[in-house]
Amino acid sequence: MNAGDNLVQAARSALADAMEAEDAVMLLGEDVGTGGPFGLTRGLADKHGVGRVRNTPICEGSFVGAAVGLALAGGRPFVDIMFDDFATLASDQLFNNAAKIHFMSGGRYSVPLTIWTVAGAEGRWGAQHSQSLAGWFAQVPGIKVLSPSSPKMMYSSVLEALTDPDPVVLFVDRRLLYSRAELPGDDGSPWQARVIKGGSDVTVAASGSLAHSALEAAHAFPDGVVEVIDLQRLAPIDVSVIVESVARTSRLVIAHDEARCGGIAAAVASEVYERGYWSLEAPIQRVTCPPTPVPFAGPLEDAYVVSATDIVDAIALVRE
Amino acid sequence: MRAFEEVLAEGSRDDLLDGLLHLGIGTEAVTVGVMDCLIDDDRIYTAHRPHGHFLAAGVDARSIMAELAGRETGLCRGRGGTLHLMSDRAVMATGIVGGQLSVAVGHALRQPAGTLVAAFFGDGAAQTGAFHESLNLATLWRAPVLFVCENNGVAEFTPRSEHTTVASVVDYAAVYGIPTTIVDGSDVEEVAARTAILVEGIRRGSGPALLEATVTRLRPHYEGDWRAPDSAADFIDTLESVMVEIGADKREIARRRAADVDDARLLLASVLQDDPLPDPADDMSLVFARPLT
Repeated sequence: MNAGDNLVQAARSALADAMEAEDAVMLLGEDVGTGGPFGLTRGLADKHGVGRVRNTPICEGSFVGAAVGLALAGGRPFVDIMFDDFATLASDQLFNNAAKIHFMSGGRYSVPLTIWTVAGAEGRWGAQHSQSLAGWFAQVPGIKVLSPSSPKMMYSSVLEALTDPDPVVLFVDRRLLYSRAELPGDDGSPWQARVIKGGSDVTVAASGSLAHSALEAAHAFPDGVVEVIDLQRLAPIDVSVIVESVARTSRLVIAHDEARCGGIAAAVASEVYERGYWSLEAPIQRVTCPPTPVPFAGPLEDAYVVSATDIVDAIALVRE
Repeated sequence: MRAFEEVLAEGSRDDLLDGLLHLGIGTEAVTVGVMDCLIDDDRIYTAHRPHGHFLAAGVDARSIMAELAGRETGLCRGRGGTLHLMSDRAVMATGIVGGQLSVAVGHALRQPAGTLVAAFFGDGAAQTGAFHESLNLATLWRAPVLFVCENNGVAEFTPRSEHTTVASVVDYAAVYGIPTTIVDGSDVEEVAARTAILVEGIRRGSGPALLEATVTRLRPHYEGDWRAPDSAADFIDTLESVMVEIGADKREIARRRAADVDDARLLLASVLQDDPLPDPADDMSLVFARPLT
């Protein structure tokens, strides 16, 4: 990748490098041959041909199924599911086949499948092009979910996914697609949570664009008060970095861009309660979207999404 | 194949075997006729009546029996069971009607030239979107897939006429212009002859084809269901009459069939007695090929 790349450019650069290095890597999805809606695969069909950068009809259920078959036959498919809303159509193949085959076959087969999918509300796209279903993926054992939050982490996440033997979902925050913002620890592993700002009084855990919002919120307090953790890996959930942090700060805010019913924030909170309860001096606060579909109208969508201000309020609450 | 599944029915009835057993008794001629046209490098995908397909693909009978008995020595270390058998040549069975078809299409894209994937499914799957999407993808991509529909006229507990107004499964393939054949699935030689023609085209690179074999389901939808199937002629009895007519010894046939059943009973008994049960402590290590810390 080049210095100054945004997340889409970094991902494209990783795909180009992976296709160069490994013949088994193959791209599938709606319009991937023409670059897709965000330009993720732009130019790759010209270089590698329409056999390896393969346009599919609009049938998520079956092109994800075909990718599972490619993976079982020794391929390394990378599938673009344009929006995670559309992953609902592929849920049989993702949850009943991709996630379970290694286990159900007693380890005989693994499914080295990478799914790229974009999620998050911005621009008034409405309830079926904006929702965030990371918690769905996290609930099914057998799927790994990464949520890269900076260009460098995107680059390494794509390469890690394409060399991992298991199904990996790259859960991409739409608001970060064209972001160039770097974060501390960008040279580290995408598989572990990372501390992106040190602090002593409150821990804020977030991922994707909310990791950046959490940094912004932290700056509303004196330096050294708020510690910010970028989760990076949403499944299988690992709270050890958070538990270690809360042992020092005694307070936790979890910001996640997902409806409040179930989901990543609830899973993280329950794990931290089990392992870190005696460190806590205030109830864990979740900053999430309300339990409604994503609304369309501008003021409604603005009220729906998690903002830096919402995180500031939650930090203030746990400090009371 | 028949003896093996008759013993599975006994084992289920006598509570020796767990699991939701869906037997393929009545479809063996399709399995044998199709497999006769396959080569070692071909791959097989199937659905919820998989035991015959796995046996015919050459998978060790004991490892299948051990899997059905939930043993560590089973084909899938007791983690799959009847609906989720997986092996190298017979790649997968599935408990999701239609769920194997697109996977078979994708697998076929990586098959060496001149080889193919045979994808068995029932007529109930022909009403799923997955079937239609898979047929479209396979044709569009000229994937070397032989779709094999075992049409028993019953989808779970209701007749096909309550599921669709379309007369035959091959009718769906007509719009894609792919080769199709309907064959009497009780006639093993005819199945093999018709399959051979379709397979030859697929191996030459002409894309997918669809074989529809009419069969009779001689057992309930699954073992233990209270709805007994209508009594129907068993093609094996018919086959035996033909063999006797051309000079085979009727008592010898009966003796060999009984011996096959005895062998299968001994196999089940031996698995139940000797093969270890899996340890739940190993489960976590099987969720991922590369577990994360």
